[in-house]
Order: sequence, then structure tokens, then C-alpha cells
Amino acid sequence: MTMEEIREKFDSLETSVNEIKEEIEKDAHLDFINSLKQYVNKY
Amino acid sequence: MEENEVQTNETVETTSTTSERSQVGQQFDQIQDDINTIKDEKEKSMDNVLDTAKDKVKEAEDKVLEDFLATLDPKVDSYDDLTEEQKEEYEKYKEAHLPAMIDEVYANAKNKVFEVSKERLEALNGKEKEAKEFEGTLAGELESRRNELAGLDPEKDKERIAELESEIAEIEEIQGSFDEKIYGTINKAKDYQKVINNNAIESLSETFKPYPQINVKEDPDLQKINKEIGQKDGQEKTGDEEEPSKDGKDEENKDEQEKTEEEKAKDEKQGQAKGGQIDPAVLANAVKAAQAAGTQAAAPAAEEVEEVEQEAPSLSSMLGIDSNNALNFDSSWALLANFTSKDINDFQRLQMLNDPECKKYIMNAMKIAGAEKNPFKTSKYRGIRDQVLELAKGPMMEMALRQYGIDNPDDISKSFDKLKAKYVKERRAIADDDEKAIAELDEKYYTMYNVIDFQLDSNQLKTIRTRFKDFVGKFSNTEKRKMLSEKIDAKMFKPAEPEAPSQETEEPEVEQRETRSWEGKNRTEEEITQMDVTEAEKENAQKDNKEVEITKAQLNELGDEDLKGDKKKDEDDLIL
Repeated sequence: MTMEEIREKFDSLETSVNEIKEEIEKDAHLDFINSLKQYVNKY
Repeated sequence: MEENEVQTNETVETTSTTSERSQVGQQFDQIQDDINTIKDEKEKSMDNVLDTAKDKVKEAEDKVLEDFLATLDPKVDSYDDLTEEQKEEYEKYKEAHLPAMIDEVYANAKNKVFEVSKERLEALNGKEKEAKEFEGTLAGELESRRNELAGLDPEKDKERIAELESEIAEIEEIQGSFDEKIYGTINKAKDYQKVINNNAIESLSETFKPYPQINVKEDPDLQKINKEIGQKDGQEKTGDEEEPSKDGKDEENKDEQEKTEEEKAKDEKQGQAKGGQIDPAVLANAVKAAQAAGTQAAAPAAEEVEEVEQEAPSLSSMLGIDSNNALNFDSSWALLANFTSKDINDFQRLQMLNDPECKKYIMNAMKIAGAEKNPFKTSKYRGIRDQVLELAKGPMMEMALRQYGIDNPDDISKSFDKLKAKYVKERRAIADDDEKAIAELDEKYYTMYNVIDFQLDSNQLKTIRTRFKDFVGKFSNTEKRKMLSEKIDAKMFKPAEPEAPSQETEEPEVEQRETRSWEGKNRTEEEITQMDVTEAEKENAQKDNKEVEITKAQLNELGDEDLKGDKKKDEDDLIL
């Protein structure tokens, strides 16, 4: 396996795992809580 | 020639029109794809499953009534048109027919909940398996490169050696990031899914509450749903050495239920300390607390109002907040998500909703949570809602303070003292002539004070101001003490009103310097130790003390006298 193939494979794995997690996060409405936290962070 | 020109123009126009149509077509397809994606996402979401369950229950009830009405002769159009006798008959008819229909609705809903969870788990487990295989591949790649490296001549193959060494380092780096970037993400996602599943159980429990034949919380099928996540974890793990971690995790989950509140608070603190993102374990606890709150809060029907009102004093426990542990703020947010639009208007008192993004999120969360279930919508609950808002303010401030490194603020006063101590410590580390660093430090603390100020109500503000005035009152230099005292009133503890920024802008830097200058004369040893900023200042103050030979008692007396002049003004200021 070339290094490029290794990098691509890892990136693709990481991206797909993140996509699944994001979908679940969305359903858990974490974006709501995180946004509020970010809002408070502004101060 | 003219004819040719016309022909050319027509051709161009036709080509252009075709191109535009093609673009429009593509855009249309894109929009349609987007819509389908959103529809798919919506259908796959647990919210949709739960909403559908609610709709189906309603449909089943309507169907039973419709069927009953169809048996009547002469025809009757609605329940309200039934005679008392018919209504009794209907109740019997409903009793005979509805349970089976509700059972079916429940079975479908339960399956859907499993389906959504299972689909995601399978996807995650698939990725976990893929990751493990890839790790195996990487180990092979690493070994082959190492073997090749071992066989190379250090003199002749310098280039290849450098190349291989670089590749080996990169592969090792990739291997090292699996835990965080792949397995860590997968585990977080699984934890989030557990939270979603728990929410789903709570929601189903609410939906099927009127039907005694269904006990959602004790349904063994549903109790399995999160165990399945644990089992899948175990199935995907290879090798005996990984088994203990699985058992440990299960044990941890089991232990979680047996932990004391104190231990949970500690866990949450640790979770928060990990960074800006919410740790799943913290979230799980927070949602659990919110669920407990939601269950208690959402349960009462209108006729139970009086009864529940008596339970109002336990609101802080409903929110998952107690005076010793204000770290459960996520649960407050989760509860706030259940507020109605009236509550949101009230919430503006906290000045949170000036940000349209924030408002949007709260509104969305309300919609998602089903604001119609909100127990705070009846006028009798207004008092309770106000208490919720009051309680929510504390956690908001704690959250803000944490952003500034105040990790465990037990109460407002202690937090304030910590801030003060931090300021003095940091100021001491800066040279007196480093105006830039001092200005930056002041700016940072000014913001922090504003954060506190922003979250406080008038009573809390009064307490803080009194405490800070006490602090400033220790300044032996009367003029400076007075000046700083006024500045505190004017700047630090003025509620966040529109005029505040302009006031700040108008104030020149040199004035700000005065507010941060802790110079003074005639301090006592104790005061110097508590308040000094630099060793040089300390020495000067000590020297001054000797010269004037003022006693602590005299100083206090002087302080009291000097403060008397400000007392009337302070009292006026405290009326907010």
C-alpha cells in the first residue's frame, strides 16, 4: 500500500465515522446545547 | 449577410436557452435530492418515530370512535352528539376494541425505535470492524517497511532510508490516532445513541401513559435496547485482553446507577473539564436528570394541578441542581427546551435571546420537545416557571465562569472571591511598566465581571457589590478608594444595558489604569499580604505604614468614616 492510499483510507474511515456520529448527534439535539454554550463563550 | 447574422444569433440564443434549461434542470434535480435527503433524515430520526407513535395512537382512538358511530342507527356524527347512554356504550366498545389497536401501535413504535437504533449501531460496528482490519493492514505495512529498512545499506541507500523512516513515522502516527479519531468517535456516537434511546423510552412512556396495559419502562424488550449496544461493543472486540474493558464498561454503567450524587457531580466536573464539547457521560447524566425532571413536570394533567403545585418546592431536584453542585446545568437547558413562547419571552429577562441564533435553537428545541406538553403553560404554573428561570440563572453563570477557569464555583460569592484572587495573582506577575499586558489583563477581567454581572439579578448584584465594596474599602488611600469604589459602581457592576459599551469607550485608558492600580498607603500588614500586586508596592506600602504608624483599628475607623460619605450614593446605586 502506498502512503497516499493509506492516508486516503484513514481519511475516508474518519470521515464516515464522523458522519454517522453527526447524524446521531443531530438526533440527540446536541447542536442545541453546544450552541448555547458557544453563545455563552462569546461573553 | 444579414440573413447569416440572424441565423447565427438564433443559434446562439437556442444554445444559450438549452444551456440555461440544463442549468435549471440541474438545480431542480439538486433541490429535489436535497429535499429527499432531508426527508430521509427526518424519517430516520428517532423524533419522527416518536411523533408517528403519537399520531398513530390518536388515529387508533379516532378509528374506534368512527367504528362505533357507524354502528349507530340513526346515524350520529360526533361524540358530542351521543346520548349519555350511547356514551356509556361507547366506553364499553372502546374498552373492547382499543387495547388491541394500541398494542399494535406500541409494538410498531417499539420496533421502529429498535430499527433506528440498530441501523446506526450496525453502521458504527461496521466501521469499527473496518477500522480493526485497517489497523491490521497498517501493522503489515509497517512491518514490511521496517524489514526493508533493516536490509538497506546506511551508506548507499540514504535516500530510501530517509523515505522509509518518514513513512514509518507517519504510519505510526496514524496508528496512534485510531483511539481518538476512530474508536473515540464511535464510542461517543454509541453513547449519544444510548441517550437517544433513553429519551425514546421516556417519550413512549408518556405517549402510552393513558393505556394501563402498556408499561413502557418495565418492558423487557425496551430494557434490552441499550444492552444491545454494550453487547455489540463486546462482539466487535477481539482478543481476551479486551474483554475486561467491556466488562469494566458494563460494570461502570451498572455502578453509575449506584453512585452518590456527589460522585456524579465529580464525574460531571471531570467531563466538563475535557473541553468545549459535551462529554457523552455528562450528557447522559444531564439528560437523565432532565428526563426525571421532564417526567415529573410533564406528567400532571390539568385536573392534577393542585396536587403538583404542592410538589413545587422540589423543583431544584427536578432540575438536577442543588446548591452544592451547580454543574448539572445541561439538565436545566434540557428543561428550558420545554418552555412555551411565553416562557421564552420571560427568558428574555436573562438577555439570552438577543442573539437570533440562540432564539432559533431554543424555538427549535421547544418544537422538537413538543411544547404542548409543557406543564408551565397554565397560569397556575407561572410561579413554578419563575422559579425555574431563577434556578436556571445560576447554572448559566457557572457555565460562564467555567470558561474563565473557575472550575467548581460553589456559589456566586466564592466564585467572585476566586476571580479577585486570580486577578491579584496574575497582576502580580506583570511588571508595572508593561502597560499592554496590564491593559489585556484588565480587559479579560472586565469581561469576566461583565459575565457575572450579566447573569445576576438585583439581589445577587447587591451582595456582590457589597462584598467588592468591602474589598475596595480596605484601601487606605481615601481618594483612590473612593475613586475605585465609584468606578466599580459605574463600570463593573452596572447591569448590561445599551449605554454600558459607550461608557466604556468614552473612558480613556489612563482612567482604567487607575481602577487597576492597587497602590496605596497606610495599609496594615494583613491587608498588604492580601492585596498587594508587586513586591515593590508591598515594600512601599510597608514603608508608608511605618511613617504614618496607623493602627489597623484606626484604619478601619477611617475606612468606615470615608465610606459613610458614599453610603447614600451606594444605596441609591443598589436600587436597580
